[in-house]
Amino acid sequence: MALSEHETKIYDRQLRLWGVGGQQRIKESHLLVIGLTAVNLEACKNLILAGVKVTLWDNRAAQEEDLGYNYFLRQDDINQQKRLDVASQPRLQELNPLSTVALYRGAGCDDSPWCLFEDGPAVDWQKFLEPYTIVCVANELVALQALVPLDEACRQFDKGFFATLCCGKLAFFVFDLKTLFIEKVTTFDESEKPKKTDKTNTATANFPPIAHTIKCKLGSLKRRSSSLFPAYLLLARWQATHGTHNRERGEIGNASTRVAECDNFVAFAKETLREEGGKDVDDDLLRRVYRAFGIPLISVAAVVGGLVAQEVMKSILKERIPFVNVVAFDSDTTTAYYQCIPHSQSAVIEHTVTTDAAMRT
Amino acid sequence: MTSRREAHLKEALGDDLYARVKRSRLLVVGAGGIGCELLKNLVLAGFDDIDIIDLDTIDVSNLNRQFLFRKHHVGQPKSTVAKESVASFSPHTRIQAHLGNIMEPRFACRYFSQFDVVLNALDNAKARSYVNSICIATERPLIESGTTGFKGQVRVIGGDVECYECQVQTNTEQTFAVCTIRSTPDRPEHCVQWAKYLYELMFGDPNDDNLLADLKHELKQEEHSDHNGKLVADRFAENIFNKLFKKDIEQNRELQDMAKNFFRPPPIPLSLDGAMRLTDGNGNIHGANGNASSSSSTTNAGTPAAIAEQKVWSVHECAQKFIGAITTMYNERGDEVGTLQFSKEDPIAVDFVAAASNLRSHNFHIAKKSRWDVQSIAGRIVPAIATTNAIVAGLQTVNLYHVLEQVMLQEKKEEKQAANGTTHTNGVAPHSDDKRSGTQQISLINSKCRNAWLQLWDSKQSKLVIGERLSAPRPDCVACSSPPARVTITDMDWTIGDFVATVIQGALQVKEPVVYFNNDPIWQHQYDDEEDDMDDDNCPEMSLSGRGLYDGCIIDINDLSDWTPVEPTDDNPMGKEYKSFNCVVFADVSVGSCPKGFRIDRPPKFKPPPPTPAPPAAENGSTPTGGVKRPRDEANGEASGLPAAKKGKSDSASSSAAAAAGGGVGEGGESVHDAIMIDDDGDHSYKAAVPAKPHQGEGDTVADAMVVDD
Repeated sequence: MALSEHETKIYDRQLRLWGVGGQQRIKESHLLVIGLTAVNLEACKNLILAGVKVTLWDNRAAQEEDLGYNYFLRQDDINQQKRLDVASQPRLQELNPLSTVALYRGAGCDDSPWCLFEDGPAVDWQKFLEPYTIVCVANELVALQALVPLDEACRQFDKGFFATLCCGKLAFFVFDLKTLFIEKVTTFDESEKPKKTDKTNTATANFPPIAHTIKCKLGSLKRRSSSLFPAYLLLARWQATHGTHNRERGEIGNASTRVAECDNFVAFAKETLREEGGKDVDDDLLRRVYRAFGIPLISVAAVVGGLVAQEVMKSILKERIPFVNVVAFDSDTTTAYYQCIPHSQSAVIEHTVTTDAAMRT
Repeated sequence: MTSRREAHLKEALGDDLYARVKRSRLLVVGAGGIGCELLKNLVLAGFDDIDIIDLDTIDVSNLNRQFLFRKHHVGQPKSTVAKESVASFSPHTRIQAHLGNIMEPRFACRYFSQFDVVLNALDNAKARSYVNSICIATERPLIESGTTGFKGQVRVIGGDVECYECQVQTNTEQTFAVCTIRSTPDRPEHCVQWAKYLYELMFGDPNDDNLLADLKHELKQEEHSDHNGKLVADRFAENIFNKLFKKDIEQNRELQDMAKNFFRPPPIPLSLDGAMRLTDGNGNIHGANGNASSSSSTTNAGTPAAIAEQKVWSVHECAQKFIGAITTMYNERGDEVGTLQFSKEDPIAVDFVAAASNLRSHNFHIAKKSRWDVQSIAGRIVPAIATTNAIVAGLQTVNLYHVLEQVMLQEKKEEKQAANGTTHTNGVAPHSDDKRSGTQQISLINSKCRNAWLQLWDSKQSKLVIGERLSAPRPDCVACSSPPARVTITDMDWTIGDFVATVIQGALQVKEPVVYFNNDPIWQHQYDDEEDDMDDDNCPEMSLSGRGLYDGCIIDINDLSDWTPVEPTDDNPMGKEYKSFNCVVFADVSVGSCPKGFRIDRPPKFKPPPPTPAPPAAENGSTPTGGVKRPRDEANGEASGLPAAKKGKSDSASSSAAAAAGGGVGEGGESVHDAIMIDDDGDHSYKAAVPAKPHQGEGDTVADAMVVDD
């Protein structure tokens, strides 16, 4: 698995960041992407460039709207009504000939990813997950609740799990790396200055299962944290109970009735917040999240797709501490927040080891 | 017509912002790592009219992140390939690609004036500083960006907020003491720097900054020629080796003995013969630890697959490479010797510096470095990845919408004023192609715009991207506290004499002017009693264009009659600090049908008193504000205004903000044209008034008064 001379030339600038060892870990990683949404495509682009092997799975037919964010599609693909994964694959592959961008060729399910998450015959998760190291699903297309079995399986078979969601000017993702041991905590400046320290730091990140995140009582969220987190959980709960997905375009319900439904969502949110003792969430924010659900905006997708890729890279390189476990970006404040939901004292545990001990290990 | 392609975009932005996006013109400076991401974002963000400039061609090491480029594009210009790639997925977008340096005159103020917003995707401080200054001169909002490895940040600049120069630039470049490089190195970086100086000394044209310049003569003496007078390269290389790594080190050792320097072990002299005898695998004759370079390097941390370049050479190999590089250079590239500069892309240059630095490291008991690591240090290679660039370009795009919302507010305000007849534009459009012909700068300070940066995980933090409200400019900022005055004349065929007499002495009331263009004096005030006319190199009859001035150039005007005393120095023995200001000169025939019409678009504002020396420009990729800022306490939260470090100045900032930021433009309603009439409150504001010899006809507007006949 040594790197070829060509690889070291192409990857020169990143090898100077994570070294040959890091690049080999990247080469051995394999991401399965279910749902080619704006955030997922941005994440894919970044990871393919870095050298991660990627498999695409989205059986929806390419439409005119998709040209607004998917720059790997062409008008011809729309005219021919190609599947999104089939149409996007060639140009994603062109990004990096040294990596592999494949189409999902799994058994069953009519070659449709969505039936994985619906009631039906039991899925052989072990067999399904075997080729991959990380799975990333579009939350626009599958309710978080419906992703619980996949997350459980990822935990069981030691795969990374990500679910992403773009709501216009807001975007979210939740991820689960179960237990990630950071072998050597690296800081920003490591590559720039020789560090005079006699200590090597390691750390352990402990992720809660997605099921616990969804169920988390709103009253137990940190009071001072951003309202984006309760809004996200409320959306997940709503999706679980009311979410009749328009899978074609990733919308909740029907666009024409969405305004009316928005009031129902706000009422549901207020009621739930009261029941669970959560701090009040602005009506305006709730409406924004609901109405913009699934709307791709490239500026936001570029930021959040980049952040997703950054966390995926952490799971591969094990050199930096991940932002456990829910991330929310608001473009009105150009700020991305993270929080461990449910709150846990042991989400990240840092260890300090003296050099002697570090050298022995 | 909105295509279905942009239906989502329109829904997310709202009709007004979407419409403003559609008629915006953008300038992107740089088509590299951030530039590629940014261009893609802008096109998909609805922008239809974009200029992109880059001077570079595509290198194979760009391909891991500059995703608009493919292997077969290597060697082609970045700007044009980026344009073609984007056209393949967005054929309707008008992109103009320019191959060139942003600092060329063709891209000066006139060019910048066409755009609504300028976005930087640059990799060096010099160009950033330049774009900043032109944006100040032309009142364009600027969205700045920078990344290094996992670090990245975005800044929004323009109008009433901090400019690029306002934040003190901490110099991220390492600087070393002279004696450390010359005689007491203790880190690999010191030896690499020494080797680079040596390279320049032997193969280039060393300048005065070369710390080893005095060695040049000594090295010359080692030259060895055959009976035809031709240099024998290998003998020369041998002599040089023994001089640098043996004789000089022996001397150094004696000096250290004399100085009774017990703190460091004495250096070990190494002869070429001695080096050739050392053949142990690690090349580490001290046998302290096998992998000498792994201590601070993550790049070759003991991976079995470490490639050849990442292996640390033995002393023996270093000696061979050193001799080899010198002989190759003289025998095969003799015609280049004397002109070369170190280049990280030149394999022989890297071989030489790697070998020489490691030999010196050996002399001084310093861990040797792999060729790869030496290339990183010597070439100041900045690590770069797609992820960080993508996030940063996304943050720029997010803020671009916020800037445009402020532009829209400003435009509405101006529309209202125009409807109420409160402006004094007298029907003369300031610039026919000026995108924002408005008369006031936009206000960004209380907007949604944020300076943003990426954050490492931190147990006390709850943010991974921090967006911070913008601050008022530093009142004494060298760049933005005194934005250039702006003058529009009919054409650049004015004679220098007319221009000085009519505009500078007349309208701008500079009594005894000295005028510089590109640091070159084009006019020096002559005193009547001056006897010696020999110094008079003024050419009053020469045209401005004949002197090299162009539409949209910036000149520097000093007034000899107005100065404040300062501490005399060698450079300034008189101890006089003259009042001075910059001025943009535009040419536009519409300013007057009369032969010598002109208009003052913005009155002068004197530069602040003695500027602090500018820090040396950091090259290549250092983040614009010099690293990552400290996170604020979570408790401080979003709403608290300024970061702790700046709290001290907030008092003075608030009072002077209006004056400094507005650039002399009055608050609330006065246009630039009457601003020249008012004496604003700023301490250094120019006391401009109606010209001494008013040519006022009807005298209804000030702007009229400024258009004078010759």
